[in-house]
Amino acid sequence: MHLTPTEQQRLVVFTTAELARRTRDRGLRLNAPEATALMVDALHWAARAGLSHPEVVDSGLSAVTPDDVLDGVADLITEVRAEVLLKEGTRLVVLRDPVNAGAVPVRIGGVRTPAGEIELYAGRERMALRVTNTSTHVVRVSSHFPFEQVNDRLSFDRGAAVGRHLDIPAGGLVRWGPGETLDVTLVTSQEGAGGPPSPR
Amino acid sequence: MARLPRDEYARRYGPTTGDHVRLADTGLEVRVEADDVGYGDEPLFGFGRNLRSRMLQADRATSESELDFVFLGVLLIDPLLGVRKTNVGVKDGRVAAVGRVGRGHGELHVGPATYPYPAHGLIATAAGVDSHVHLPTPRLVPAALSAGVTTLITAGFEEPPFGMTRMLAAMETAPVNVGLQACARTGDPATSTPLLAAGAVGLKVHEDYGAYPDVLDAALRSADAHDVAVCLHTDGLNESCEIDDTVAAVAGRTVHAYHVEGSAGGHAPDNLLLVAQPSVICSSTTSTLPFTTGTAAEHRDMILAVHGGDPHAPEDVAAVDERIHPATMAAEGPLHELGAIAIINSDSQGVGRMGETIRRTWQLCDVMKRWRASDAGRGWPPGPAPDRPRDVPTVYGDPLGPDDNERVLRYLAKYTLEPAIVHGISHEVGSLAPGRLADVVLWRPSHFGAKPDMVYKCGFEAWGPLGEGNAAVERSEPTAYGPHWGATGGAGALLGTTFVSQLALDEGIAARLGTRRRLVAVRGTRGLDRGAMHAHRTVAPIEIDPVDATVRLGGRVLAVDPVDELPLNRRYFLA
Repeated sequence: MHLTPTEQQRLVVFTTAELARRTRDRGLRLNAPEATALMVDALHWAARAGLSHPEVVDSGLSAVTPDDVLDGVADLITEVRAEVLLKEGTRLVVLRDPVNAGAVPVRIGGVRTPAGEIELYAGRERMALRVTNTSTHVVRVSSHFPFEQVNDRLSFDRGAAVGRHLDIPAGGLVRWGPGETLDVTLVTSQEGAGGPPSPR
Repeated sequence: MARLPRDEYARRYGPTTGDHVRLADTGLEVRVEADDVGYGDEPLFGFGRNLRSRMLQADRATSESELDFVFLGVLLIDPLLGVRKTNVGVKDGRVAAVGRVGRGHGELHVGPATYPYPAHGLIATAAGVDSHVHLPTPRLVPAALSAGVTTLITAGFEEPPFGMTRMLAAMETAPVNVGLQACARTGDPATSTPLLAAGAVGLKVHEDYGAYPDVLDAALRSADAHDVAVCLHTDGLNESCEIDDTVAAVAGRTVHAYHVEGSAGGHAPDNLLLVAQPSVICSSTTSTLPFTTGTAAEHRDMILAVHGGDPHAPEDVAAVDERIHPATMAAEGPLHELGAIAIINSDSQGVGRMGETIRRTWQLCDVMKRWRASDAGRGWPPGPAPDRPRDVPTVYGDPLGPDDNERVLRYLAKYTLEPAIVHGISHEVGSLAPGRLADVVLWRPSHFGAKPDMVYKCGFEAWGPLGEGNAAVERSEPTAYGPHWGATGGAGALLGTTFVSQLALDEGIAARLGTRRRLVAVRGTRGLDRGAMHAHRTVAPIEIDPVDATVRLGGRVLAVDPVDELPLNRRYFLA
């Protein structure tokens, strides 16, 4: 058989899924490992039957219903990743919220937040700036990039931008299409941030 | 002006001050008490993120302050630091600092060689310290790591020195901290000295080798001479002595009383009276916590199996049956809740379960919250409040309702800080306050207490639910707990600590073992009493009925009804 480690892991999925099927056949509800295995097993069978990537995803998403699992198990399975062997080769499949049980009051491990908003960069100075992209390419700038150091093809008052970055949530991006002009807000950078620009 | 609705903020960056997080499927909720991260300047790693040069990375070249690893945006739950959203910086295997990433004084220096662990939305706790571990086979170590435990203090029975040396050699590359206790088996303190010199971290007095008053006294004298802990499993037969005689032999000296409830061994039926002794720090084993409808039924065969009993000998069975008292089992949880029993440990394969110390602690915490709301649990005094970080303001009128922070921090201490204090290793483990080893467990809140998201040893990934090796991404199914790099090849030796006595260090154990592991002497184990505990300072002058073992405190029966269903249980585990 010359089974590779990957093939051997397929047997772990199969065995666990088989346990899950027998659990279900006895009228019992599934725990999180069983439900996960049943979905992954469904992905492998769908791939084996020659279905396409989207069809394989659908087979995984329909493998387990909220009625199949123990109360609350849906909250435990937020994302399932697996790799299947399609006719076109190995492909990744990701299932998100694969046991969609609908809204519940406080999810297992859930977060409750008071009403209201969080102010970002509180107390820092803001300024408005008009920025035009003179490039033939799309240019994106992320939240904390020192704005005066962005791609030369963005046209704006660089002097005014020193020590500032975009006033958007951390990790966010602003996109300029070719030739596009946007009005943005800059905010003073965290003390000491920015650092020396790399030599160009 | 950039703003985010609070629920969207929590989704992106994890919960912040004032948010509540439900711990797995328990009825426990923690409230985030403080947030060090800085709204807007949340450090993030990845595509288009801000942990890069010119942004939140400080470009100063490698220096004293530059971190090796940093856990970003994690919800830290820690006995000493409270419940706070923060970044945890690691340098040379230890927590270097907890707080904001930046370039100012006291801020975390994330430099060009710092490796970030994005942990937004995850909970970090110190890894478990299991202070009562039998290691009859190597299979227990994976069970411990898979449950979030990285420190193992064995339960004794490690002598002779020939065996201890080989046991330590066997543990050479295990990514855990280990301390081997040896049994003190005579009334002569001198017989313990060679065991301590050979590497024993502490002494155990166990009835299977004679828990006589003179043996206990000798162990305590040896411990006082060499600054090591003594663990005690008292005389369950009342053959050589009764509880009063044991207390007299302790004579106000520090002892760690194992499975104080008594079913797992010790004076029948009143071993639990030790909770009234200030110098006796008490612990419970996993088998009796929480008290459930099957607890008593399980114990007869378990005790016969682990103590060499003969199930066909009526006198053996009768002696075992008289050890098992539902009434003391019913009082054990409440005594934890009142702060009189400090520690939960596994007693692995000595009537307990290696991988359930943490899980059962949280199950107990959940059951005890419900007990407080029941008729039997109403009106008892609160447990001692754990010390709180000074920068955390008191909250009045939380719009989300009451939280469980105080209770959660007390129960967390039961398997982290309290055993570390008792065994003289709290300068190394038991908290993620700066200076301690960065033995960190990350948890998804949905799986808190049941299945870790990753276990880090000294800040290095050591054990976790790893995915299939050929896959294009991590965590492709089937995922299963197993060794990460920290548990592969020789890495464990560079991550693990072996705890020994100062005597062993002085007598040259490092050269004798030829180990690459850190060898650290335990310290500060003597002269401790309840007042030295973090959150378990209660001395409970209980009374126990000599016939039916009913426990009373202040004349009132102290008991919780057995429960028949627990959280952190069948939803999570294949069975």
